[in-house]
Amino acid sequence: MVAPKVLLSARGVRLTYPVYTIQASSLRNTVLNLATGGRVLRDAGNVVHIQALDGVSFDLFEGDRLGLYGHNGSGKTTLLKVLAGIYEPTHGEVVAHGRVSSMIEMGHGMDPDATGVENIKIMGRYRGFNGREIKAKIDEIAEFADLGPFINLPVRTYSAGMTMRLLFATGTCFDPDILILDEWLGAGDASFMEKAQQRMENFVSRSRMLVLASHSHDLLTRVCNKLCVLHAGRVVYFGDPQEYFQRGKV
Amino acid sequence: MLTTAGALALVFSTIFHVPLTEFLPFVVAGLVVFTFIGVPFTEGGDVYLQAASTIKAYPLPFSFHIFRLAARSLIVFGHNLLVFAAVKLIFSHNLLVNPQVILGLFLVSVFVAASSVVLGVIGARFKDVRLLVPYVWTIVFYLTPVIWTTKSIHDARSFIYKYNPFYYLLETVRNPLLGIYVPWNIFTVALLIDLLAVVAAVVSLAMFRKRIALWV
Repeated sequence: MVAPKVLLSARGVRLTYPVYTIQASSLRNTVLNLATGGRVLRDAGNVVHIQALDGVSFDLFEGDRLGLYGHNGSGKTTLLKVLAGIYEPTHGEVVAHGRVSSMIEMGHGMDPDATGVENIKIMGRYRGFNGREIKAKIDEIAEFADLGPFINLPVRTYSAGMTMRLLFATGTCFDPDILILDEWLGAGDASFMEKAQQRMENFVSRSRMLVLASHSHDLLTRVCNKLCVLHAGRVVYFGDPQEYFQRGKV
Repeated sequence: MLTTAGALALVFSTIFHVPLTEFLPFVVAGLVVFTFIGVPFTEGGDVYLQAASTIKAYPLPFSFHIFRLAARSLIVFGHNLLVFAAVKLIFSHNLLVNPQVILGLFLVSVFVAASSVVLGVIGARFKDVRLLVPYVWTIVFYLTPVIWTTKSIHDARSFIYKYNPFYYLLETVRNPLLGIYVPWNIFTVALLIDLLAVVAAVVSLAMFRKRIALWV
């Protein structure tokens, strides 16, 4: 029997996050501070280091659906960003085998002055697809987003719902190996919601591996086969989601 | 671009007693090239801050944003070059360009990309840098022979341009554009400046790459 392939592994991942006050993010003040022997930035609170992740390790295999759960500020989104390669861990490493596709801050990277079609191309490129692969998908995306003639107008003319629809249609179009999601995506009005739900399930089922951060017990139990619970940047539970949530109820 | 160059050329050709027809192509070429060399100062400090939303959404290499800036600047340079071509055609009645321009343009492009990395990293950590460096660049403008010629300084004060790295970068492109041959030692100096800039870029990325995404 062939052992399942490791697609994504985290090894002792630690991330320290520096936060600077306005004073400390000024070169002028920092230089003055050096010159005056530390009199300008006397307050030690000018640079705060936050230990966002503190030794996170796991291996994820082909077909795994990992749910991340924890309170606000427990490090869920930070961990997602580290797994997606957006943040490099301060210590430890993340090794991914396959194309990682993340939807963490979806609206980001859009050009409001470019048209819908142009933005599809930009987003496709950012995800590492070439011109031909993107071109083949444009019609499908345009049809699903259902923007009509707006697809050829600048994105800044879109309503919030229309922007979401375009993002959703584009985001769920390119097949990922490893999919990283911050909250389950849903967008638009009621009729689109239903359509979106179906497409989302479809999309997730095409991925070889999923990491999903969510607060919803139902969703995590339904979708995921593994659950990772974070508290203050540490893993406090790793295992079967059903077991964890049932234990909590008792 | 043309109006600025025209006004400057008018004033300085009068001061230096040089015919305007000779001075205008010189100033236009100088401004076009100098604007390109100055991209790290005028836009480089802002490059990662501008790209903040992309950096936080996609795991792109940090060189991507630099190459994007460099490519955009090259296109702008190309547009400005058309203005120069028109001026040259009208005042010099030819479009003769020394082929050394290709090498010069390559050296300047490397400089633009590499020093944008350095200033971009500093700018990401210290938010006032992007406001500061454009002023520095204005000072450099006056210290570099863009609207004055090296012939107008003979005495000991020629150090103003002799020790000015931007003078050498400028010469590698401006003079070939004007159809003038550039001595190879100018290219050697430009190459050394490039090497320094590339080393600084590699070092600053190696040291701070992990933090850029957290800073912006």
